[in-house]
Amino acid sequence: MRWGAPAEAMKIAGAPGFIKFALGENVKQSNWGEQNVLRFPQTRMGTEQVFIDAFTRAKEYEKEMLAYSKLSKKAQATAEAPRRDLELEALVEILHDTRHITCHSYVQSEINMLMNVADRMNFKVNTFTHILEGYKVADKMKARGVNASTFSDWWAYKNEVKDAIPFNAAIMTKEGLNVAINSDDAEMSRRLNQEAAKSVKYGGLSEEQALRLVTINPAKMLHLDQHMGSIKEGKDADVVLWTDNPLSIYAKAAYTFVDGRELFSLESDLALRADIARERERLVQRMLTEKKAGATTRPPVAKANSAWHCDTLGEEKDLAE
Amino acid sequence: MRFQFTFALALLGALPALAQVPAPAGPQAKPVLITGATLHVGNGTVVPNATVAFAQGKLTYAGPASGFTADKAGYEAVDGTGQDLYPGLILPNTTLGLTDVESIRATVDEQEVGILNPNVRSLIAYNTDSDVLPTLRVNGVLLAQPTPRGGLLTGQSSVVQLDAWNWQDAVVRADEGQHLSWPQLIIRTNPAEDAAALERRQKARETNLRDLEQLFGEAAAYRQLPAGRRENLRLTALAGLFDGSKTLYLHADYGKEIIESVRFAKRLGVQKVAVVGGRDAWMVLDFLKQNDVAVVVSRLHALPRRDADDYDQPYKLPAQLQAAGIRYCLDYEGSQEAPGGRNLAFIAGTAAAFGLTKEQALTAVTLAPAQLMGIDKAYGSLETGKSATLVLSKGDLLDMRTNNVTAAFIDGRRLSLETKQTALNRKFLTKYGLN
Repeated sequence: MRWGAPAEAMKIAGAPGFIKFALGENVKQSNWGEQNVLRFPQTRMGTEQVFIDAFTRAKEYEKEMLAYSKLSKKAQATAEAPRRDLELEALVEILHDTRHITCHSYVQSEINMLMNVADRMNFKVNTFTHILEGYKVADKMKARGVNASTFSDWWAYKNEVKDAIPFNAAIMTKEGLNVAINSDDAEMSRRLNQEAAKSVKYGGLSEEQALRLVTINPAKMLHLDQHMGSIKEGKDADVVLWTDNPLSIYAKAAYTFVDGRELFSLESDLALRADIARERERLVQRMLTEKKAGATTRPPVAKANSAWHCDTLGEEKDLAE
Repeated sequence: MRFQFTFALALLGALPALAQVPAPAGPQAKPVLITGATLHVGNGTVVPNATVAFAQGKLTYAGPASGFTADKAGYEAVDGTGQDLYPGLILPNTTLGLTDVESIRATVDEQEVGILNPNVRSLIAYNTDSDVLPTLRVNGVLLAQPTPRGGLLTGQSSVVQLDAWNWQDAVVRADEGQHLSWPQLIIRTNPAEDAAALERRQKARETNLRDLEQLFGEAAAYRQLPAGRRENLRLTALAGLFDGSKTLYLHADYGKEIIESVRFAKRLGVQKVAVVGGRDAWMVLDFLKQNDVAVVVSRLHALPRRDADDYDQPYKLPAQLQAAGIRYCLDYEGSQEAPGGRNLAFIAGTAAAFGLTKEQALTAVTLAPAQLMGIDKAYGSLETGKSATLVLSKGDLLDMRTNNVTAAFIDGRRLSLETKQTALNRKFLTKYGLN
């Protein structure tokens, strides 16, 4: 979160590459209206076949590429070169465990399905995210060392989350999984410490375990725990000083440092507020002066900030409203 | 015989898992005495080491232990030592019970077709069998105000208690309010639209306001007509606004919309108004104070509305209203509002973290909404003579770190703290041998 830096500079140097997969109602377009019923897949049955098909093609592609690369220069000159396919290359990286899967998921059948496809095709699922029914297959995930990142207490907003329970993170933790709390909601993300705290209430995790859900555990999932996720000599100076126990609703971040740089403090925030107030006043006065001097005016125009979600696709127009 | 006995036990064990929505508790049979707890009355008062007694659903004593001199025999004793006792929380302005699963249309009963539906009533759609309801009770929310959505005049809300066989059984106050979604003053257009679209929307707004004005004018005249008049359901439904028996809830966020909507209602003779939403209420504090308008503050767990707003503007709005002497209470309107309603206590906790005292924050989810909805004679605070609708928690109810409800009562009836989710938790803990 290097606020103010350009996008490229926000990237963490040396971080391994990931890819997002998805399962469930988004994939099968369940909530896209009656017009969207033709694109394959429309069921979880079809979703399995999409994955098997893709990895089958990736394996064949790799074989072809390898066979071509082994040909002599002379033979290559006359052989038909296989066409480079960037999508399949990404899947080959997964098969070699150099790119990691983060998979959006909800119900146990599909989680089980992808893990079985992974066994069969010989790749690993790094993390299931959302995974509200992870508690139903925690033993199977444990056997394969899959990470779980979940919402704390969301449920009942669509059919695939009818069996979601807030005890999910606690059950998976007790079963021995590496568990994190996630949110794809911009507002909730700024209170992720409080979302983690709910695992003390629901399921009786210790406060230490709850704090790990939003610190070292997700760092491990991202293969970045050598650099972040805990306060230790040699690690990145990404630290927060809280006014209270960070699991408490009464805690405020008093100081926030990223890479050792102070990006927020309650004190400097007050100074920034004063700056904004002064600037607003200056602009208002300037506009009033211009208006008196006969400048043309126009009615106010609303500007709305939009929040983007994990399944925001083709909704850019709606969001702009 | 032995086999049968084991089988019966196994069945008994399976029962909680089957009973996803627990049966409502029967009427209070025996007087109850809660001792040793810290009593949070709901009106700002805190009583350490309190005694609370209730019989036939009514509080017969709520105060310091030293003041309770009656014979303790005959009471069912509840040890509240080390615990905190609160009035049941009240969730205003919610689709709870109207919507079961947001994305499944068949389970959504919150918005009727058309924009002028003052005769539509949320009460009859309120589903007491929703398995969402018990999950709010176990976090301390015991009363709610199911409210229709959409349109302009969207329909009437009622107040219900959350442990009932059916909506008739649930009702605390029927049809207490009309809800008006104020048309947006600043029209936003989609970038793909042309200038004509803006004009069309502005025209639509003017038409809406004219229609509203006409309808309210007709309703005011209609109630003066002698008996035997031809029945008009819409106009009849609005009558209560002119004698103060119903509240007009004006759903508006933007400062100028708040002023415009309140002025509109007052000009047309509406006696009781409240603003719902009110995200910009901090910009019109003087107006709200002068007109004595209460605000139902929309879910404070929200991002600031503008880039230049303080990062904690939504969180500190209750403290700003408190400081200005304006009446307010807190809701959870927004996405996933029905299941998310169980976080109401934490909304109050956030308000306490950002400027309110903890007791003021508690009032904002207990006595304040009770007063606004006109149910404060019986609910909203724990005082002798009022309903025994209360929550006992082993730790501060307003903080998710400590919220731990150990008992809850509605009108003296002790509620089951089982939910579909606790049953699933047990089921899978058992599967893994973790319990």
